[in-house]
Formats: sequence, structure tokens, C-alpha cells
Amino acid sequence: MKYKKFFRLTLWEFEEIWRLPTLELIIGIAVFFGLSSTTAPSSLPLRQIVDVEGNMFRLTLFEMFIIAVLFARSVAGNIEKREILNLFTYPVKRVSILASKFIVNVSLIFIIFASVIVARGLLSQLEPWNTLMLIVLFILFLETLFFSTLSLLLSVIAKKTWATILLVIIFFFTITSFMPQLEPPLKYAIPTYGAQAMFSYLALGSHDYTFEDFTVALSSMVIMSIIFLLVSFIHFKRMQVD
Amino acid sequence: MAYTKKEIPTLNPIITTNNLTKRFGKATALNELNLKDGGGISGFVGPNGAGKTTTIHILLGFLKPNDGTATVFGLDCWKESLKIRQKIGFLQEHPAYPSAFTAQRFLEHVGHLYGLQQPKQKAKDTLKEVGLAHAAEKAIGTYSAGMFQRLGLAQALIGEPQLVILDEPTANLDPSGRLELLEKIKQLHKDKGICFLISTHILPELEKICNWVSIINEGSIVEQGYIQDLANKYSSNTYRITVSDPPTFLKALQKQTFIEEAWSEENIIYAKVKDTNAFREEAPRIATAKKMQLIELRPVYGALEQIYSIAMKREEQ
Repeated sequence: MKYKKFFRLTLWEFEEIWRLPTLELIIGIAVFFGLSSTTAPSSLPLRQIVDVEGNMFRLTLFEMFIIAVLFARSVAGNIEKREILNLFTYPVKRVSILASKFIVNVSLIFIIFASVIVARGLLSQLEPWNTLMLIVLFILFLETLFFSTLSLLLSVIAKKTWATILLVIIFFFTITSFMPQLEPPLKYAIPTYGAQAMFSYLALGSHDYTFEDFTVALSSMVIMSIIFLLVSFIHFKRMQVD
Repeated sequence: MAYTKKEIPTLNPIITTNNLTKRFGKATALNELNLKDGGGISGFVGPNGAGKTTTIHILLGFLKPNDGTATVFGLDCWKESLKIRQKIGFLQEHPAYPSAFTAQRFLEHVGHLYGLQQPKQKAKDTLKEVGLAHAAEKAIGTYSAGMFQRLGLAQALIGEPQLVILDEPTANLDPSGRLELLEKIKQLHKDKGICFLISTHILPELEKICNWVSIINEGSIVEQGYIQDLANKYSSNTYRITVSDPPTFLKALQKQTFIEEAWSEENIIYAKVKDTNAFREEAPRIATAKKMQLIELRPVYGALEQIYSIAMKREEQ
């Protein structure tokens, strides 16, 4: 019964948030950003899929913005418009409500962006099950998870759509503007630089990055995601709405 | 006609609060509130900002009280909110439903959340019950205010609740819509035994269907009880009587010792009584003896308005 209710909540969320034209719009822009190339073709096949200095960063920025908008609409918007009160009156746990929103949005965003990267790989004759491709998808998943948990946390705290989007943008630009001054490996605790470090270390075997850099990048992203997620759920569970 | 005590099918209170206190920062929204319902259709009235919505939100587990207890069906409203929500339906004052959904789809989802066996059919039946069958496949965003309110009632009813809490249910409705909604509430209580707690400002409407009223002001209950009892306590003891033969009944009534004054206006008899209990016992007997039909016998006050007004004045003093 519990799973049935949870499934119903995820279906509800999917039908409500991912209705036309949201889905088409995100896919369209993701394809545009993902497949358009601004750099010269590289001899490395993987560089043709994801250019570390160019496309991947652009994709990250775009992905971050999309995640912020979606979570702001789905969670903060629901609280702001008091639609969440309806869900609170039905016999379902608050944790299930938030989990359904989180899982639907994270899954779909990841599927869309992963599809774009796989498509780009296929165009470069790189098979989707190639180890390097899986590394790229793994890093993409970590990035999606990090930005989603951050957006989720800011959504349940801000409780307003535009405030959430603004806070995510401010957060992102603050850490990318001020934290590069940090010395490695601490610098790679910042998700965008961390993603580059992980990608270069794992996929390209770059000597510019050490195992320590990779560990800091991976662990900071995972740990911060878990902390953001836990705080979001605890806050949402205890949240008082009037 | 308002219910009398004898007509109420359920008398046990479903909702009970004991010294319930809720503060928002320095402001006290509820101050040792002791609320209970009448087990049938109960009214919850008070001026704006009195604490009605805050109380309802505590009952539904949206808010945690600072002090005191609140129980529904004997279950703690904060700790056992999930069990309570399985048994109740709620229509909020300014509801917001997913505008892109059709009413049918929306209710199907809600039905699933209540764990219904056939949510699709139940959604259809509920929409029919509230008079929205014709608009079942229309997007909710295209609904008028009246349709929206009916949908609100439908989503509150689909889980087959034992108690439905309505916060200002007639606020967005025109007069005919209000009457329809009140009739529906009365019918649902009669046919299915569903109990209601209705929070509203519109007292004459409430009086038509409620058997119990709780009056709240500045976060505390200033008066509560069966309307009939409160009417006896506060009203001027004037009754309105409709019979099949008004002139004969009026003559008979005027001879009674418990009557202070009786008169007729457009075939309706009004009687100011000295002894309410004697009057309520004797009036039906007089009608039977004179072989006429007693169609209506109810206090003329507007009882609730008078009770409300006196209770509030007393509180202010």
C-alpha cells in the first residue's frame, strides 16, 4: 500500500510538473547546448563528447538553472501557492511527498542530459557502454544530484519560486567567483571544478590532477548532497504551514 | 429547520482540544482553547483573526501547538496525523488544485492516496454527487468559482471520510450556490452519517444546518453548545410556527398560560413564550388536538446571530 501511494505521488508529480511544454522545452534546449560545439575537434574521442573547458561547463550552467527552476516550481511553488496543503490533508507522509518530487525531477533531468551526452557520443562513434562514457554519465549524475539537493533545500527554506531560483544562482556564482582562490585540493570541493577534476583524472588520465584532488571532488559532492538532502527532509517534515 | 438534540444521530464529540495554545513569535493565535464539536454538523464561528483557521490547521497536523492537546477521533493531531487524515476530508478557504489536471484525473489520484479499491469509479461517482459530472474531463483551470468549490467538496468526500472540515465553504459562492452546498452537506450527514465542522462568517446559513456551534474570539472559546440550548440561554424566546390552519391555532395558543404574546403575519404565527419547555411540549399537542398539521416550529432570533452577538459582547465586557 505504501509503495502504491508513493507510486501515485510520483505519477502525480510527473503529470503536474512535466506537462507540456516543460518537457519539450528542456529537451530542446539541452539538445542545443549539448550537441552544439564551439571548440575545434579533438583527437581524443571523449573530447568530442564533452569538452571539459567548454561544453561541459556550459551544460553544467544550463543544467543548474533548469534544476533550480524545476525544484522552485515543484516544491517552493507548491508551498507558495498552498497546493502543498492539499497533499498534506491526504493520508500520505510528508517524507513521501518530498521524496516523490525529488525522485521524479532528478530522474528526468538526468535522463534528458544523459541522453544528450550519449547522443553526442554516438555521433562520435563512441558506444554508450564504453567505460569513458560511463565515467561521464557518473559525473553527470553526481552533478545532477548535487544541484538537485541544493535546489531542494533552498526550495523548502525559501518557500517562494523566485526566491529559490535567485538563491541558487547567487550560491552558484558566489562559490565560482570567490572559491577559485582556494588552493587545490580544496578548490575541487566546488562542484564545477570538482567535476572537471574527476573527469580529467578518471577519463583522460590527466597528470594535472592527483588522486587526492579526485577524492576531495568526489567526497565533497557526495557528502554535501547527503547533507542537503537530509536537512531538506527534516525541515520539510517539521515545517509548519498556516 | 435546525436540528434539535433528539434528532442528532451521533452525540460523541470527535474533536477535542484542551487548553490549546499556539503562538507565532510574540503573537498568540490560540490561547488555551477548549473546543469540542457536537458530533453532527458543527459550526465554528468567530471574527476574522479569531484563530479559526489556525485551530483547523492544528487539527489537520499542519501546525504543532505550543501547549495543550488537540485530538480528533481520540488521536493526537500532531503525532498521529496520518491516521486522522485517513478518516477526514478537508476543504480549505482558498483551495489551489493542479490547474492542468481534469477533475476526474485529480480525484483518481486523490482516491489512490486514500487507498480506495476503485478510485476511477469512485471519482466518477463523487463528481456526480457534487454535480460536476458534466465537467469531469475539463481542465480544472477552466472552472468557475462555484465549480471549483464543488471540486473542493468532492476531493474532501472521495476518501469516504467520517468527518469533513470545511473552512469558509461558501465564501466564493453566489446565493444559490450557497444554498445548494448547504443542502448537500445536510443530505450527506443524513444519508451517510458524515460529520462536519464548518468554519464560516455567515451565521444565518450555518443556523440552517448546524446542531452545535462553537464561538471563538481572540484565540479562546467564548461560548459553545447545542444551538437549541444556547438559544434558550440567549434568545428572546420568540418562536415561528407554521401550521395548516393558522387562525385556529393562533386562537388556541393565545389562551395558553405559557404564552406571553402571539400574533400572525402572512399565515405564519409568532409567539413570545414565558416557558420554553412547556411551549415545545404543548404546541404539537394543540395542533394534534385541533387536527391540523404542524409544519414548522423554530425559534426566531436569528438565533445564531443573537447568540453570537451576546456572547461576543459579554466577552468584551
